[in-house]
Amino acid sequence: MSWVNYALTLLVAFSIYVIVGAGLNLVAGYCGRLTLAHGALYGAGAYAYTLVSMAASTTVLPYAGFIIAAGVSALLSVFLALPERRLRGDFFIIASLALQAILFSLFQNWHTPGEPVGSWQNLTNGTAGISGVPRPLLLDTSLAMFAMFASAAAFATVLVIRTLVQSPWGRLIRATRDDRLVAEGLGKGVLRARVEAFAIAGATAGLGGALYAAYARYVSPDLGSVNMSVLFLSMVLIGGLGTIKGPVVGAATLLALEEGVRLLRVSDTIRANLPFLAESGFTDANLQLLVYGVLLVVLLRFRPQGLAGDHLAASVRSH
Amino acid sequence: MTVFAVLLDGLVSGAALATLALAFSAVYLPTKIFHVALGAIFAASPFVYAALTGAGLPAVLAAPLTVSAATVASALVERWNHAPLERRGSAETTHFVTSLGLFIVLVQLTVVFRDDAGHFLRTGVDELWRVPLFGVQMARSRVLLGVASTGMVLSFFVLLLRTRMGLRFRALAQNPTESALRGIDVSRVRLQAFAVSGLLGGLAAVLYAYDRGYDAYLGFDMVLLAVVAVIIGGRDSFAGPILGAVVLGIVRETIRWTLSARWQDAGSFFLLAMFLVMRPQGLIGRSTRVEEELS
Repeated sequence: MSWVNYALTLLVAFSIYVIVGAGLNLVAGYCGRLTLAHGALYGAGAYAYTLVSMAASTTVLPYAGFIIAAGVSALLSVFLALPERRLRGDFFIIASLALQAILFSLFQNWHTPGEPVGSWQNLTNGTAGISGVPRPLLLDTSLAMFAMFASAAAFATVLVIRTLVQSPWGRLIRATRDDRLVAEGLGKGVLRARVEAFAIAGATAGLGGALYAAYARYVSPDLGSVNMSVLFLSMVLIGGLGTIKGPVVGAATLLALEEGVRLLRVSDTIRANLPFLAESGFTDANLQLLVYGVLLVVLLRFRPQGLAGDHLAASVRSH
Repeated sequence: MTVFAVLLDGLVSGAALATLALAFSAVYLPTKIFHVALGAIFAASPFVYAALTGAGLPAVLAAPLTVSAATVASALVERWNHAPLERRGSAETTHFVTSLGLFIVLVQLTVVFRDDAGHFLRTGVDELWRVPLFGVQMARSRVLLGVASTGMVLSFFVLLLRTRMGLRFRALAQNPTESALRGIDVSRVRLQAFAVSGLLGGLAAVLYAYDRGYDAYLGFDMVLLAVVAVIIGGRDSFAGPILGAVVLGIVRETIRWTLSARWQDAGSFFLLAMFLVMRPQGLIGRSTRVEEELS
C-alpha cells in the first residue's frame, strides 16, 4: 500500500470518528448524558445502509442508503431519549447499555442458515456478516473520491453541530444540562429539545456506520459491539466534553494510538521481549483497549475536562 | 423438560445471579457507586483459581486464596480510585466511567497474561443427581451452585442484620451525612463494603465457572445481568436484588428452554427496558420523584 493510499485510509477513518464523536458530544457534552449505545447505533446505520444499497437496483440509490441509515439510527436514539427524564446518570447509562445489548443481539442472531442474505428470515447473516456492500456511483471510482466525500461529510457535520450549539437551541440544551428544573420552569420545551439532540446524535452515528460499511464493503456484528460504544465514549471523554474541538482532538488521539500500536508492532515486540508472554494470544486490539482503559481512569482523575474540554460540561465535573 | 425442571433450573441461575447482585448492591447502597470493575474481578477469579490448582494446590486451599485475592482487589479499587475521587467530590458518572476503565484494564490484562479462550474448571460431564423433588435430574455442579449461592445470600443477610458492620452498612445506605455526623468512619465502611463485594463476587465466580466454564469476557455480561436484577427487583433495599435475580433467572431459563439460548440476553434487556420505562423503582422499590433522588 502506497503512502497516499494509507493517508487516504486514515482520512476516511478520521472522518468517520469525527462524525460519530461530534454527534455523541451533543448528548454527552451538551445534554450531560453519557451513553454506551452509540456502538449499536453505528452498527444499525451500517446494516441499514447495507440492506438498502443491496436491495437497490441502480448505483445512485445507495446515496439514499446514507439518509435512511441516519434516519434509522436517529429513531433508535429517540427511544433512548424518552425514558431519559426519569433515570439518574448511572441508571441512564445502564438503559443505554440495554439498548446496546438488544441491538447487538439482533445483529448477531437475526439469521437463518440457508435463507438469502437480506431477506426477512436472514436480515444480518449472523456472525459471518455481509460482504460485497455496494458503494454509490462516483464513490466507487477511487479511494480519493471516497475520502473526499467522507471528509466533506465530517466537515459539514461539525459545521452543522457548531451552528446548532451556538443557536438559541444550543443554549437551551445547555440550560437543560445545567439546571433542568429552571429550564422547565421558564416554560421551555425541554423534552423536545433533548429528544432532538438525541435524534441528531443518533443520525450522525448512523451516517458514520453507513460510511464505514460503504468504505469497507463489509459489515459484521462487531461494528455494533459494546467495544465500539466504549471506544466512542472514550473518544469524546478523552477529547473533552462540551466543545466543538473536543471530539476532533479525541478522534485524532485515538486514531494516532490505534495506528501507533499497529505500526510499531507493539504486541509483537512485547511477545519477543517478555518470554513469559511469548505464548499469549493477545492482539493489538487488546493493547488498544488496555490503553483506553488507563486513559479513562487517569484522565478523569487528573483532567476531567478532557484534552480540549469545557470544564463546565456537567457529565463528569465535580459538584 | 418439565415445567418443574425449568423452574428449578431458573431458581439455581437466579440464586447464582442473586449472589452477584448482592455483591453489586453491597457497594451501591452504601456508596451509590456502580462497581463495574466487579465484573472484571468476577472474570479474573477463575483464572486465578485455575492457576493455583495448576500449581498443585488442593481446591480447599486454592478457593479461599482466590476469594481473598478478589476481596483485596475490590478493596484496592476503592482505595486507589473511588476514595480519591470521592474526596474531590467527583460526579457519580465519573465513578462509573473510571470503574469501567478499570474493568477494561483488568479484563485486557487477563487476556494479555492468560488468553481469551473458553475454559472449564472440571473435566468431562458432571454426574447427574436426582433432586428429591418431582423426580428432576440435575448435574452435581448445578446443585452445588444452587446450594452454595443460597448459603452465601443467607450469610450476607446474617452479616447485614446481625453484626455491627451490617448495621453500619445499612446506616450509610440510608443516610450517609447523618452516619458521618454520628461518628461512623465512613471511609472505613466504604472499604469494607468493597471488600465484601469482592468476596461475594470471587466466590460466585469460582462456583459459576465450575458449572458453566469461564473466559475473560464473561464479567461484563454477568455484572450487567446483576445490575438488571437489582433494577427490576428494586434498588433501594438489599431484598430487591434477590427477588430480581430469581425472576430474571426463571425468565432466562424459560427463554432458553422454549426459544433458544441466543435470545436470552435480548430477552433480559428487553425486560429491563420495560421496567425502566414502566416501573423504574423495581418490584419492591419505593416510588420517588426524580428531583428527590437527585438531592
